[in-house]
Amino acid sequence: MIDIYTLTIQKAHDLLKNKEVKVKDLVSAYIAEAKKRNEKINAFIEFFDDLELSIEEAQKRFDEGSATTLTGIPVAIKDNLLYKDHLCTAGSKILSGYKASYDGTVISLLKKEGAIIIGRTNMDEFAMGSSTETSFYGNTLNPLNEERVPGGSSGGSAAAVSMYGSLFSLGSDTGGSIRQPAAFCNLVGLKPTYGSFSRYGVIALGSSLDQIGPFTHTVDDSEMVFNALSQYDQKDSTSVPNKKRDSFKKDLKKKIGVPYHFFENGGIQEEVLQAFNKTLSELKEEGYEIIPITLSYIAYSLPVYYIVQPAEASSNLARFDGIRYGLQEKAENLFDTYAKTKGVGFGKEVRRRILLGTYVLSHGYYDAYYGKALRMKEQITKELNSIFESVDVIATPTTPTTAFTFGEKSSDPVSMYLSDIFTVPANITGDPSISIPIGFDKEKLPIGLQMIAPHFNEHLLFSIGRDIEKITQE
Amino acid sequence: MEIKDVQRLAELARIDIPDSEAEILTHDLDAILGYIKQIETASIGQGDGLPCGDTPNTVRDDIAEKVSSSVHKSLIDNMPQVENGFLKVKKIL
Repeated sequence: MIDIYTLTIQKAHDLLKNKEVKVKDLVSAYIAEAKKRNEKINAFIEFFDDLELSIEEAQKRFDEGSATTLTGIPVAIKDNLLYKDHLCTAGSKILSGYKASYDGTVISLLKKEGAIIIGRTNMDEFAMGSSTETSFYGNTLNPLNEERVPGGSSGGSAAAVSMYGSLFSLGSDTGGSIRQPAAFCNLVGLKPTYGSFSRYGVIALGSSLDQIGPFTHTVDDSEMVFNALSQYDQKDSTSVPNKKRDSFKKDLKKKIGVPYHFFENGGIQEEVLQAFNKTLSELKEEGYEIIPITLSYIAYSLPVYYIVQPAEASSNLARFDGIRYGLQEKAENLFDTYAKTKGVGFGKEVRRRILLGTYVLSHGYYDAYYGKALRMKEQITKELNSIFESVDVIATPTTPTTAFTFGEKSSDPVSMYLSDIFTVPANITGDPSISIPIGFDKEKLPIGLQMIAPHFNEHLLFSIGRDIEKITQE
Repeated sequence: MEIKDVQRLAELARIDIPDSEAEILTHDLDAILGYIKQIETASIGQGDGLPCGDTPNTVRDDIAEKVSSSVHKSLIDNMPQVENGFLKVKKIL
């Protein structure tokens, strides 16, 4: 019997390597659980039915001794990652029936490792959202409490791992869409440095902000996936060459910076702050120095984000017009084909953000909004870089509250956007950032602690993350 | 914002928005714009144009690469209307 509730990638790999378990049994165990729970949770939009060949090949690699850490490991992928000849719809009606004509690079890397891609997961439409309530395929529920959201936009990927339907999954993070669901679903969620995972074959939301990253149960697992997928890709012009990444590496100083002033405006759940402070004081006992820091521009990260992201989205989503793929609404002329298709094919939130983006990029507003936002982006990045001279990482709670209920924030867009307040800075600056579970509130909802590290210093996140895991397991 | 402003944006973005939705959007966009407007007060000095940083632009040689026939077939299969292997579109002129 395979105990999927206690497996990690390393443990699963050892079981396979020692021939205690076969790849097909490991994968079947996860798929059985996934299908059972998916009836209610709706984490998966689709289970792929073509696994036989990849399972055979993975088993062969174990038999021959050429398996690597991810070989034979079941993985779920967010519905915005192109996997050749499989449906890929970004949670949207407008891409109904679209089959990917090529593999995104992270998918090619997963295939090269021999991981078993078992299905595509639900998401907020075009990754616009923080609750997975805007998907054309319905809501995803939080496996830990079905009245609550799993977070978003990668809610399906988070739920898939949290419900033990997959051993790891991939999501995307533009403003917190991996870290926030990880915090809501009691998982480790990593947004790597901008430029570290290839964006080739990822349906783009905000091209200067998007990054792909893993959901895992442990920090070690996160590091294993990171090592396998963090590769330079010539096909992504924002991908950073591997050699250049090494030049950024810093040594661990055991100093954690905390912008306490940023929490003083209220709106943070008391238990979240308590768990956060408790973890920091326990880290002090492990020899860490906790240093209060001031980030004068950090409060502007969210308004900057809600200018840059919709602007880039309005440009990126212009291609979905009913002409080359997906839904096509019948109309008399070309313009109406576009307008009707988009009117019917895009959901409310997507339409809202495209209009917002169109506004901030339009004549007369362009410099005041988009121009100013880009200059602020630079300023915020500069400020964080200078703080990193004296600390390893910056720590905050991942989210101001634990998982909220369905409908609680969907009628007020600004209130939904505010749930990203701690996560967006790392997208604005491109710094890597991780969310680590640190406890539960009295409703038994999980709480996450977030760390941001300097560019290409994920190793600091993993080191300190492992210490946090040790502390919270005691 | 007024309905006509929303309709103008909808036209620019090529999205059909019924008047009832445009009405709601005037309030939504006012609320969001009210929130993002705070960057106006951020003092970071005047910049000129858009900051590009010091990262160089990455381009590849302008050489057409042949795709495999399976990719070619996949692209055609995704097209809503095909005629003789060409994408069929509405008249432009």
